[in-house]
Amino acid sequence: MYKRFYTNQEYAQFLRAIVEIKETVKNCISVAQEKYGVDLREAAQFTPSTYENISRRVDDRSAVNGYHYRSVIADIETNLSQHYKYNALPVFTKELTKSLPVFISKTPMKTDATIIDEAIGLPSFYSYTDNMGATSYFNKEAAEFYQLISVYLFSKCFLTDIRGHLDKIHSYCEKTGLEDHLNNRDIDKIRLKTIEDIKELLPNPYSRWDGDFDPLCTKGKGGWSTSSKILLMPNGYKELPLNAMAFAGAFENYDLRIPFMSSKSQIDEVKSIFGDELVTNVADNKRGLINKVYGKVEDSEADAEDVSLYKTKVIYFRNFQTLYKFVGDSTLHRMSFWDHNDSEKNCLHGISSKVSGKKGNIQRNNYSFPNVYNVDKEEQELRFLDTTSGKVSVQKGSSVIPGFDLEAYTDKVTYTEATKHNKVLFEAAYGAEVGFTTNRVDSSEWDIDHSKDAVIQLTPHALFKDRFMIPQNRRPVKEVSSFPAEETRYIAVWKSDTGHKEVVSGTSPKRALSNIRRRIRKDIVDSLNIF
Amino acid sequence: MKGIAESVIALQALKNGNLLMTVKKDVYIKPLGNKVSNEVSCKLNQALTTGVVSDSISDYKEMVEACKVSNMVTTFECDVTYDDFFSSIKSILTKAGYFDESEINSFNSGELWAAINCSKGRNNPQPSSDTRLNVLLGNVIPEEHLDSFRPVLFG
Repeated sequence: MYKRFYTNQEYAQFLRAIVEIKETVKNCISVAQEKYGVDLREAAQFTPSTYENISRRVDDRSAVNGYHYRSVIADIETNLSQHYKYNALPVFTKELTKSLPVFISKTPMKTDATIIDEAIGLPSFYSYTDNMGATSYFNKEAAEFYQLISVYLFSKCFLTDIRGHLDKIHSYCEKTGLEDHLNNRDIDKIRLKTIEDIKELLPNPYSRWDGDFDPLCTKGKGGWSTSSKILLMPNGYKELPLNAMAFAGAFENYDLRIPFMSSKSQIDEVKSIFGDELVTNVADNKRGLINKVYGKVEDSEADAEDVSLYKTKVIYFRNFQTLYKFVGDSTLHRMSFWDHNDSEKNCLHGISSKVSGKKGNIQRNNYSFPNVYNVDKEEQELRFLDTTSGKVSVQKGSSVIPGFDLEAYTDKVTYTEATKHNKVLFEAAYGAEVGFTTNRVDSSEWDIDHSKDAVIQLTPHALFKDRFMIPQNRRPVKEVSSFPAEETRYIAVWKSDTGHKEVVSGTSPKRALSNIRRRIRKDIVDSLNIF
Repeated sequence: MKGIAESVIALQALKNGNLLMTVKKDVYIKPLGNKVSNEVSCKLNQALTTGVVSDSISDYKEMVEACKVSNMVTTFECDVTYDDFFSSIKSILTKAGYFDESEINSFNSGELWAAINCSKGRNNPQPSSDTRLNVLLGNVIPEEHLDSFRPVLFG
């Protein structure tokens, strides 16, 4: 940025002025040498006080303006005039003795110079009348020499001044360059610059995609609303979501303490692969924005079908309805596991009896024993939970663990089956026992080997995919209804013969491939115009 | 049981032999409605935003639990085979001197996982086994999924 100072017109003018002035100074010196036999370079000896005065004034950078120059000229003139008027001593050489002013009229009068010339018998005079009407008569030769010295001194003065000004420009540029250099390494500046870059890159960062499927939209259907709350994320998050950077007007809502890793090159890489098709499907029929490409996934099956698979990071706005799919209700927190051994249930609480006593150093950890189960059967019963402190609502459904179907049951008659939020719930009374049965099922996302044992930890926090009841005391939930989320997904890209591009994602390469197969089939059927 | 092993809710084998891990991430909401002192609130915020629920806020454990509203569950493939993973755990337990090789060979996968976590609560703790387990997990969990363990705070 600072380099523009070196290329602008003003700087060029300064340089040209220096050349011209140096030429003038050179001419002055040569004329003085030829005509008067005087070396003007010794002018400092001639008027030390004048020279000092000029130097001092020139050094005063703040006074560099037109007035200053006029003032300097006046100084020179005054000093020289005083010198010629009252100093009878030879200045440079003896030649100057002849050129001293010989007559000074203190009274206003108008006299023909030639008469004076004749009267005093000198060759020629130069007359000068000041504002007060006082006229000074100078030897013409002396006046010319005076002019020559004036031009020389002023030129030198001007040259010094211009050089000083250039020095100022140079030092300013140096300082600015250093600041630029430092600024380019300042994370905040880089962040702002990247935000600007991304704003340019995205189709329309302010309005973005205007529609229900806007992945970055916090308003819209499904109960989304503007999130005005600050999102605090732990330091472990390596990347600021793209939407946080391009979040027009709400960027300040994001915590800048989140380490910033997104870069223009990263976005360029995404664009180079996906072009403008940055939007893809994510969980729960939402749309996500592709934020980062980890790399291409080699898959022979995909290659055979002319589909490219990529491992990417997708960002989107999630709402709390989505979040609550994984909620462990506070009612479950009030449940406690039985703390006695029950080896019949194949529960690894039994590990304590099996392990304790061996070498005497492993004992039952009463503090927080992991409720770990080894599942080696297709269908297996797990440990009961005991609702020791209140009612609990448990919903039938699949677990969050892929390849497992967990079902809750209770053998007490105290339970009632109720439907809330269109979901069938068990409402077990106080003291009821709730058990779980696992069924190992095929996962659509992972090729799980059911022949090997699985280890699961039965905690109240991560049991069921579908949520339990919304706690009544969660007031902040209503205030924070949506938040940006990020997810690693595999994206399958297929280009049709007509140039149409399909971008479909899945949680695994297998899933992405199967998803795009359906889309390709639909695309082909549409192109055949069967229906 | 503490540490990231606590967040592991399932370990399974894939058909390609690799280990499939399912982990949960705790999600908290700041207790806006609750009456808590500034000190407690600050400590809670600090603990939650740094991603570590440290012992320093163990006194506020109940409140932390009350704030915990959700879990985010992630499933991913690890950079290790199922068999190698449990062989490593066997090796850790054997080297720490808890079991003989003949004893440990009788353990199934669940017992191994419980034993190595159970050993953390014993009376004579030896940090070497904890460290080894953490190093093992650190090696087998893909880097991009390390975030899956860290809690999140909303509010």
